[in-house]
Amino acid sequence: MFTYITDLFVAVLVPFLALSAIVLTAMLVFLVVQRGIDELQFRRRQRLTARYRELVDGLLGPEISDRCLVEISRVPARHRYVIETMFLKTLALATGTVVERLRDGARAASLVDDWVHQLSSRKWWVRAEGTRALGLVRETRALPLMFKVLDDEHEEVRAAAVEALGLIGHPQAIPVLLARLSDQSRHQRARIVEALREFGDVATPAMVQHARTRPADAAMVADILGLVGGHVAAEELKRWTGDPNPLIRTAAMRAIGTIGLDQDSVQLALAALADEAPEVRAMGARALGRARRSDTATRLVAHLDDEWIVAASCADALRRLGRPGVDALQTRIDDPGYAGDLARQMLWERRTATAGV
Amino acid sequence: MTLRDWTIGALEVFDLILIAYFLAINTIYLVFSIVAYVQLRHHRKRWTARELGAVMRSPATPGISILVPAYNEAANVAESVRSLLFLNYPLYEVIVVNDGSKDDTLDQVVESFELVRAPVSYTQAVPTKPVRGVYRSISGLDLTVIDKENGGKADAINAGVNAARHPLVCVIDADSVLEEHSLTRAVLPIIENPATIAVGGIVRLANGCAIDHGRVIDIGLPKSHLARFQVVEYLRAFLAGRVALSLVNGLMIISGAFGIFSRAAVIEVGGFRQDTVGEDMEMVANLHRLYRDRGEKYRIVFQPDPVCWTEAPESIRVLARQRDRWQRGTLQVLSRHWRMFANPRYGVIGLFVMPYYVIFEGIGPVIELLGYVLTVLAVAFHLIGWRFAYLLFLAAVVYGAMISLASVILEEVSFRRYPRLGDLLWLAFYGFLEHFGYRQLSTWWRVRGVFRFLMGERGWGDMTRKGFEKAQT
Repeated sequence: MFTYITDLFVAVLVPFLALSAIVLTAMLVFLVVQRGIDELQFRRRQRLTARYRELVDGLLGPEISDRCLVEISRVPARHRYVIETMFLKTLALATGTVVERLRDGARAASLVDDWVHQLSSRKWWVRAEGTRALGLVRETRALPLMFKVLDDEHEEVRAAAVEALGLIGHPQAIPVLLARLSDQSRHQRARIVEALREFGDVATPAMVQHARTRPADAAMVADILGLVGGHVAAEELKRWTGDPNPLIRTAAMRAIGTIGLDQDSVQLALAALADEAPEVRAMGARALGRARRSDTATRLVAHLDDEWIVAASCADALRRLGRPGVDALQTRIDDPGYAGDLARQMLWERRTATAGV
Repeated sequence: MTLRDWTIGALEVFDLILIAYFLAINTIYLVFSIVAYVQLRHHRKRWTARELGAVMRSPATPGISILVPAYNEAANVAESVRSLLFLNYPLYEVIVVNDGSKDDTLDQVVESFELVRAPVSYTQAVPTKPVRGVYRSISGLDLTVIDKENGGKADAINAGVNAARHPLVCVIDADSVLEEHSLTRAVLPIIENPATIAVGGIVRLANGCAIDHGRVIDIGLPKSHLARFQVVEYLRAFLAGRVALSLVNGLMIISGAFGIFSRAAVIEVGGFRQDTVGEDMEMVANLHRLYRDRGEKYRIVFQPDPVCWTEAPESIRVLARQRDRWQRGTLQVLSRHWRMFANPRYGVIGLFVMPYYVIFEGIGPVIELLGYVLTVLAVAFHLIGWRFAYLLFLAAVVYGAMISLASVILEEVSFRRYPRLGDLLWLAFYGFLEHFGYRQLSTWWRVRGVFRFLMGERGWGDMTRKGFEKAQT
């Protein structure tokens, strides 16, 4: 019986282990060879990079020479990937004329054509790379293609398209991006917001218009307007503080607080302290604190007994107001509950901050 | 039948059981490795750098309080905290809990980061030993140090949980270094699925790596043979075991060296238990039990790419103590959660994970050691034939070596963190060599842990730190 079982074990185990050993050894050898090939490729790339460095540096010099462009256009197709890598690395940090020069270089080396061609690749990562590259060289001629890529089936490609449009910064892209603000992916929406921020104040009229036609996006638009920080948007935002929807009122007051308060806005922020929605009251307090309106300390300290989110925002605002805020907080440090806790906490934070200065 | 016949019969039965045991454990690991291979490939495609960027920008990304329990960690604590302050994550704070260290851990961290004693008190959501003082940064760093009376690692973590301001708490060891994007990568499953209550990251060994200002700048293999064996062990445990178990929500342990937990969930289970040396495993077991008892949906996930670098023991004495402690911790947890064993109510945890842990991790070392000793003696006294010994060698040593080699290959095809070709070859060599002595030695340490557990010992033992290797500058 035992002999039979052990024979069975041996009969199964030995071939299995032998086969496993062969497979694993083959895999290991393959990986070692792969590492060797990678090493060779790396060295070749280094050699080619050194060879073409002067050519690329020539494009970045004070004067772009036609000779550079001609020589770049003559780079063999099999070496283009080296030039491409050098261009893209530089473009990731470049602005202004450097981008223009590298764009000329990329056009001369037919890289722009390659990238445009990549947009119709079957492989999503190739489409994403092409999109990213076109964005980095700010290739406006590729805009219509980019708009199509915005609806690509792969999120990575859509993401690259949004970022690229933000980098290109052409006004034509604003309504196209706004139309996708309600994308299902939260990450994609965050990218669109980031791209719209790249446009700055230029995007404000289109965003305001978008909010009017699609009120459901108004709160989100208000947030973006706050981030863009344009005074152009302030008038519209002030109107939105009277909107029946508390989400829009909150977002509008947050945006106003971020942009900064003028005299009208101070009155609106004070009015917000009496709003029925606690989030709006909190945003009103935040706005007053950020504007350092010391004359509002009495109003703010009265809200330390309000709901926690409001009380915490008021306490934080008072901390920012300097002496009047400290005096107001001092009056509440012996209070029970979180009014006293917040007052004590804010006074402590302020003391340590001052001690550190 | 004579007594000799009975003995031979019993030995043969035992050896067959032993061979089946080794075949089972190695086959389970083979399946884990295959599943992990598929999962890791999927993971690499799923979580791209784009997601990391989105996490960094998203206003919905949850804040994290990093808790660093420190006891006699003067050698490493400043370096570790520095690395934590430079993490790439939009909203986090660092809370170091000095658990009544006898060395100058507190002075090291207070002096290095210009901290001042602050009049702050926290609600004790989880009871802990008295807090002696709270120190905060005056230079704008989101760093808090809690100085408390010694109460053990779990007690220190609980003090950190009480002080945490964010909804997630990340527990790491004071002798560990997190990579720049570790938090961002670790938090992805929580953003993807809010039912995720805990996430564990991979722990890699920093021995042999060059560390500069809290950043690993050159990855290499340790010089010590003992540490090299541990590198292979860690690869096998994390890349094969945890990746596969995570897929079926069967993760039973999130390493105390690096894990992210929902603060609310931690408080709900009463914090980390102080009367155990396996508080990390105990916490995960408690979470499984609580959520499965309630019938609530939850996930406990392992992410293979957020890396935490930690120092491994390089002396046999310290390593033996560590393994002894781990074994006792495992047994404590298994004995406390015995009710889940083979209980269909606890799903995969009850029907697969608990039996696996009981058989292979709990009593496994005893079976193994007994098997080795009895087989050698039985062959020496001609009680059983060489065939049994040969089969045992194949099932335990050769099959085990294959699995270790597979783990090294898994690392190479997934993350390839060791850049030198020589490192790959050395890892493969040590993976093969591991089962010719090191594994048996480790089994002996674990058996000692089993006996000390049965004798009722619950202490931690000391772990001497030598500090990270500095980069050549």
